[in-house]
Amino acid sequence: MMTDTERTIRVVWIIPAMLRTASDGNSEVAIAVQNPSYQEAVKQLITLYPGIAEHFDVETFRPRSYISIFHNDEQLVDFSTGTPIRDRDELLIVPALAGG
Amino acid sequence: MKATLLNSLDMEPSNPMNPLPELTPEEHAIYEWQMWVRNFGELGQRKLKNAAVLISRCGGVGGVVALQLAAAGIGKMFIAHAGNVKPSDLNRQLLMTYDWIGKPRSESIKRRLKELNPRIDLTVIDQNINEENAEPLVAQVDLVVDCAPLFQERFAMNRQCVAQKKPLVECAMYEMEAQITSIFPGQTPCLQCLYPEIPANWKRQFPVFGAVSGTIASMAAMEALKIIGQFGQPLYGKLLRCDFNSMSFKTLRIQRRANCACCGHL
Repeated sequence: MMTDTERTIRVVWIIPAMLRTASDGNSEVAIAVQNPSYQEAVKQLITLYPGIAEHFDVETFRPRSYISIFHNDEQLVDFSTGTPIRDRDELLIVPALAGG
Repeated sequence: MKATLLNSLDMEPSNPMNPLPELTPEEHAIYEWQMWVRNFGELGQRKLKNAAVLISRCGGVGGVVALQLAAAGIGKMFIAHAGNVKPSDLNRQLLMTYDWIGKPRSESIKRRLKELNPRIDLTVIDQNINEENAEPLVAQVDLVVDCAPLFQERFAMNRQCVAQKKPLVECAMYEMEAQITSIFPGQTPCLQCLYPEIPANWKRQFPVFGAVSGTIASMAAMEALKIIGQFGQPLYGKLLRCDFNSMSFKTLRIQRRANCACCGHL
């Protein structure tokens, strides 16, 4: 049986309203990832929607300081290594908001 | 973590000569239905009466926070909000009125809150939060609810709450989305743990329905009531994200940054 590291998996990016001009208005984007890691998922998202690239450091795939990334319900804080992701995982972009 | 936080936030006066205030017969009549809430009761109501809260800006979010806290019987409230009422305030700023367009928001805030709760000890300053006034304002209260539309104000408030170790309810919205967390300095992530730098792309004017700002405001008021009344589980170390398009609500776990420029030393 193949493991997630050996096959293509499907992950879903949740795009917040503030970034949706860069995702053609889409709030959810399902992508196929062949090397299942957070870094690969960012690469695929940016390939699909290049306008989102400005919100990441494209060398390290760290989000800009005004954005937090959540892997399922957990905040990602360590971007130094290939953070593993699994089939059907969710990656959520949560930008800083100040609407009051 | 919960027990530690609750113990740290003991708002009952330690001096036995200065006990929690008693409720008057009128207050018993007004707050009777909420005092039926389990783990709140009359003791919780007396804690609210004894508490002072600061609300930073009193617009679409802050105005509803102020209304809810005034209705619930918070004893003392400070509100910071500058400027005059504009037509564009009126789709969401429930403390502003049509007849007050062009006149100071601070007066409209006072009038409306006093109509609801004439017993409240209310101070409304005709200023927004800045680096100078944040320190003395935070020093006078037990808890802060941050509803400002600019990150400069939010960061200044976060810094002072961390410096003075005061709990902070941080709530904000944009279009059909909103998010909220409660901060207990030194024990939970602070605003700068979540977002280390002020976003350069934030615009002062943002898309908003009053129903969205009012909903997250009522949640923020509930957080303040739980923290002051010492019941329930506040959103410590958690960020609640609400999407009102899909009506999906996610509670996300957030983490402190060891190198946070604001609270990393605690």
